[in-house]
Amino acid sequence: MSVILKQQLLLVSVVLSLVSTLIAAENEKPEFTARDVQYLKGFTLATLPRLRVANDNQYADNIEVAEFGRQLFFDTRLSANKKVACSSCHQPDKYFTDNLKLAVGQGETRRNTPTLLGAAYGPWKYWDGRKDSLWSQALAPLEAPLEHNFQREQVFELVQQHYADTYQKNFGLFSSSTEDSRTRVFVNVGKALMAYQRQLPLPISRFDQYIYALENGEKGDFTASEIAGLRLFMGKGACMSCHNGPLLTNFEFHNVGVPEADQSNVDLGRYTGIEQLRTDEFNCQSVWSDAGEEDCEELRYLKKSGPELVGAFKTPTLRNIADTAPYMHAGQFLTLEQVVAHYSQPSPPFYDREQHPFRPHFDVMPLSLNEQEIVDLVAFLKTLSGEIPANDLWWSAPEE
Amino acid sequence: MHVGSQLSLIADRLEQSAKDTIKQANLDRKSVIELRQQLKEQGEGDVDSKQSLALNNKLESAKSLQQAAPLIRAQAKQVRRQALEYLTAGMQYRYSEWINNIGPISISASGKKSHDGTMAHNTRIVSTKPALQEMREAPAISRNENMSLELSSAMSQDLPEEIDTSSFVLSRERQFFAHVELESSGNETGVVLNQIQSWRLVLTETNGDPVRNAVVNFNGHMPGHVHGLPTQPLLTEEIAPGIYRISGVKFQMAGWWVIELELNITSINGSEKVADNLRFNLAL
Repeated sequence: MSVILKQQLLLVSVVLSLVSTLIAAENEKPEFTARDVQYLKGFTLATLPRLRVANDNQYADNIEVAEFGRQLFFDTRLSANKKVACSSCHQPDKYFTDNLKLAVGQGETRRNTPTLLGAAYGPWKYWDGRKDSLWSQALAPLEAPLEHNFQREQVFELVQQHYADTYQKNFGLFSSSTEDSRTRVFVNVGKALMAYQRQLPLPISRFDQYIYALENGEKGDFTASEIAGLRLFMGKGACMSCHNGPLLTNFEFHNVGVPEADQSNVDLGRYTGIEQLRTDEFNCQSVWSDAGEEDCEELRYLKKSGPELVGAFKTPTLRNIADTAPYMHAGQFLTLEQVVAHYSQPSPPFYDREQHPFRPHFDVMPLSLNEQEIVDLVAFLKTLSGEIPANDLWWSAPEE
Repeated sequence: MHVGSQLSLIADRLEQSAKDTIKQANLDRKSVIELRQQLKEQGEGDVDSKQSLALNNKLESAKSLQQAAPLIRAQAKQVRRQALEYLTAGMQYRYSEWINNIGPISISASGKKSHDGTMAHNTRIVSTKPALQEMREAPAISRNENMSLELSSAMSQDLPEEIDTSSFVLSRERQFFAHVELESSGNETGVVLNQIQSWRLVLTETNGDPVRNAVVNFNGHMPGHVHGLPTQPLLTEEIAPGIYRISGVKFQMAGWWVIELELNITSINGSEKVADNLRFNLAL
C-alpha cells in the first residue's frame, strides 16, 4: 500500500469517527430547550384553569343536580318519538360526538355535532355562538323539530312523572301548572344538563404526557414525525394562533374558508348567531338566568358588528380531534389529512351577493405544506387524543 | 408636564421646519432646472456671469437645505422624545395614586410565555377579492432566545422596525396626554388571552389637568389582519377626575395589536366639542 493511500485511509477513518461522535452528541442533545417546554406546557392540561364559577346557574356545581343531569342526558323519553336523547348525538364512546357529517335527530340538521369535552370552559355554545351557556344551549335541541322535537310542556310532564322526587329535592316543589312554572322546570332541566357536562373530565393525551416527560428531563415517546408536526403546529402552520391554550382553542370565531355546504342556503355563522344570542329568551341577561347585574360580561361587551363575523365559526377544541371526524361546522372534511390540505391551499369563501350581507372576509393564509409536512402535522394531531375513561361515572349511562 | 407640552410644541415647530426646508429645497431644485433650460435655449455663448451666478446660488442652496432637513428632523425627534419623557414623568408624579404599571401592556407573565415575538399568523390583508395569487407567502415565523421552537410570527412581515409600545401617548392632535394599563385582578398584571379584563385610562390635558366627562370609543385591530377585538369594550366609569375604567377588553390572539381610542371631549364651559384620537401599540 502506498504511503499516500495509507494517509488517505487514516484521514477517512478520522473523519468517520468525528462524524459518529457528532451524531452521538446530536442524539444526546435534548430535542427541546427548557424555554420550549415551558412554552409548550401552556398547551397541556396541566395548565387548564379551574372552571369559572357560573353565576347564571346556581346549580352548576351541585353534584346531585349533575347526577340528575346525567339521567336526563341519556333519557330518550325526552323526545317526540322517544328515540332521541342528548347522548344520541353526543355519544360517550365517540368522545361525545356521533362521527356523522351532520347531526341527526328526528331529521338531519345542518351542523356537525361538536364534542362536549371542554365545552364548559368557553363562553359560546354552538358553532355560531348563538347561546352563551350550557344550560340555555341544552334547551334548544329539546324543542328543535329536527332534534328532540319535544315541547317544554312535555318536559314538565315527563319530569313530574319520572323525576318528581329528585327534582323537588333539588329545585323545590312543583308549583301549580302555569306557563311560567312549566318554563321554570324546563329551564332547570337545562341547568341540570349543564351541571352534568361540567363534571366530564378531559382525558390526558399522549401530548400532555410527552410534555410532562420533557419537563422531568426525560426523552418522551414522540416519534420524529410527531415532533416535526408539533414544531409545524407552533411555527409554519400557525395553528396555535387560534388553537391556543390547554384546550387548543380561543373559543372565538373565524372564517377559514371552509367550502360552503349548501350554496343555495349559505350559513352566515357568527353573523346570525349574534342576533339570535341577543334576542334569546334564555340568555345570560334573561329572567331565567341566575346572573346579577354585574355578570354576563360577554353579553355586555358583545361585538355586534364587523365584516369578520360573516361566515365565521367557532374555533373547535383539538382535544381528541383524531377521534371526532368528520370536521368543520358541516362535516365538510372527512379526514384530518383533508383538513390540513385545506389550510395548506385554502380556497376563498363562497360569495353570493343575494345571500351575503357583504363579502365574507377570510382569516387564513395558504401554508403551502409539502406532503411530508401534512403527514407530520396529522401525526401530531393524533397525539391529542386521550383514552376514554371506561370506568368514569360521568362517561357512562345510568343503570336502568 | 408643562415643560413637556412646551417641548412638544417645539418639536411640532421643528418638524414643520424640516418640512418647510424640504419644500424650499425642492423649489430651489426646480428653479435650477428651469434656469438650465433657459440657458440651453439661450445658447452657451450668451450666458452672462450673472446668470451662472444665480444658477450656482440656487444649486448650493438646494444642496444645503437638502442636507439640513434630516438634521432638523432628527432634532425634532429628539425633542419629541424629551417632551414625552417630561409628560410621562409629570403624569406619573401627579397621578401616582392611579398608575401602577408604567411599562407597556403585555401578556401575563404567569400565563403562557408567548410574548417574545409570538405574533399572529397573518398581518397582511387577506380578503377574498384579490384572489389567491396575492397571498402565496406562507406565514412568517420567528425564533426566540433560548428556544429551539420556531413560532409563528408577524414580526418579520409588515411590522414597523421600531414600534413604540409605550403605555403613555400624546393624542394625534397633541391636545391630550394619556396612559393606559390593565386593572389588575389578583396576581394578574398582564393580558390573559381569551379572558375579559378591564383597563384604566388616565386622560389629561397636556398641562396635566384631568379631562373630565370624556366620551371614549375603544377599538382594536391587528394591522393588516382581517379581524378586530372579539368584544366591544366600553368606557364604564369615571373613577376619579380624568381616571376612567374601560371594561370588556379581550384578546383572542397574541401578536401586534393597535388600540385606538376616539375621544370626544366637551370643554369645561360646555361650549366646545373637541375630537381627538389616542393610539397605542401592543406587542402581545
